[in-house]
Amino acid sequence: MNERQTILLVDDSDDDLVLMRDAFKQAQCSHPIQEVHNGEEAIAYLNGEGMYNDRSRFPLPIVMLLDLNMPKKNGYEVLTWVRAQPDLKRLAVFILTASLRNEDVERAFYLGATSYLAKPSNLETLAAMMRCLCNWIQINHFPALNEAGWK
Amino acid sequence: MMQLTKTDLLERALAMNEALTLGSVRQHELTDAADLANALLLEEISERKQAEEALHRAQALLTNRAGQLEGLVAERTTELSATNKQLEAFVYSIAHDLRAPLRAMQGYASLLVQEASAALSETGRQHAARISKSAQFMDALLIDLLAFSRISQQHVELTPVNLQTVVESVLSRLHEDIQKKNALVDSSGPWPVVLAHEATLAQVLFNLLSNALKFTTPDVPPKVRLRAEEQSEFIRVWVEDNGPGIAADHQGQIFRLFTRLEGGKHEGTGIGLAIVQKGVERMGGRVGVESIPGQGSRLWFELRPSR
Repeated sequence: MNERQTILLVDDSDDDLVLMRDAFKQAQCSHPIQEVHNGEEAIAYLNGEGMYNDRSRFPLPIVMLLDLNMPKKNGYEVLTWVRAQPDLKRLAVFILTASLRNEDVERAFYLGATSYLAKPSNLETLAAMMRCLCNWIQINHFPALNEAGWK
Repeated sequence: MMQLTKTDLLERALAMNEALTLGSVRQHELTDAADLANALLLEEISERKQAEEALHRAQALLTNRAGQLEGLVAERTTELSATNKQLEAFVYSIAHDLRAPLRAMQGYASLLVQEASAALSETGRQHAARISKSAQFMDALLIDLLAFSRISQQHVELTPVNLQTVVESVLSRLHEDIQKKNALVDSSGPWPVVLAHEATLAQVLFNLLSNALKFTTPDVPPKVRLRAEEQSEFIRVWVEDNGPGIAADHQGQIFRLFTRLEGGKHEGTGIGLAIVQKGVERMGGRVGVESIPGQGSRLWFELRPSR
């Protein structure tokens, strides 16, 4: 039932975006993919600013894959912003970064990351990772993005 | 009184002493003797005073120098730790930044084979595969370099760690490798609790075990035994394999950075055992190897037990 929901990729590397698209293809993931290239664009997308106001073209994602090291607001800033928005705070945010530093893992989870994935050097491994992500989306029960259902 | 040297005074005092003992002393001689004794005493006092003053001066100088030295050491330590931090940041960013283009190289080489396969000859496909393989090897090098730099720099605090837990987690991380190689791993224990830094210990064991699985004798299923030996002050952990073994004159080199004994035959980065040694040293232990070529290798490391 979640198969048609959008995955939002946030990454400043065009190469990595090309490879991620291919990995999704190899993994036979049917989710529509949207891409933005830095933290500011990610916030504009999630906020529905400008052209992103058209939710039929740019739907809110079921999962955001978020790079950490980016110009114009990095991944941490985006994550912090998301968790502070009452209507977005429960969005599933998967960090997807080249960093293997334990400090980055700790900090990401401290700020509320849903998961932390390190970019592999190998396209096949990336495809296997994205297959796992799609399987996870299928078996996970997603809450509303705000906490209205609980309060 | 005329100026006398100390030796003169002493000589005369001795003569007086003799005269006194013999009982042949006259009044003026006694006065002389008292004067002499006084002079000697004054001389002695003035010498002591001078010595004391010299001592005070030396002490003051020493205190001053010690203070200067302390300041210098503190300054150098600050400089050194700043340099260390810079070096760490440098190694980290180099390794990190180099990985991004590598991912692209590997990925596009893969895409080339996937998507332009028809347009490529068999040789062309092989070339693309080699690009991809080399990029992956360089990535392994960078990951190992990152690990080496991290293990050298990170703050290591020793706590009681159950070896069994670490052994199990390492075995599960290498599960796929073990199955692929058809390897037999005996790790039945018993496993004591050691004083260690858990992440470092896991990295050490991971490297030793993956080495044992990597350097194998062709057509012989790898057999690896992990065990702990309790010694008086240390726990020695053995990783024993049935691989080709290491010649005696190479055994001293294997823990050195970038040492690769097998030439291009195996896909080692030459960093794995350097990480092992550095990691064990940071936990206050030692590493070693025993091996007879053709009869496998037995690598060990020692850590303090937790009591």
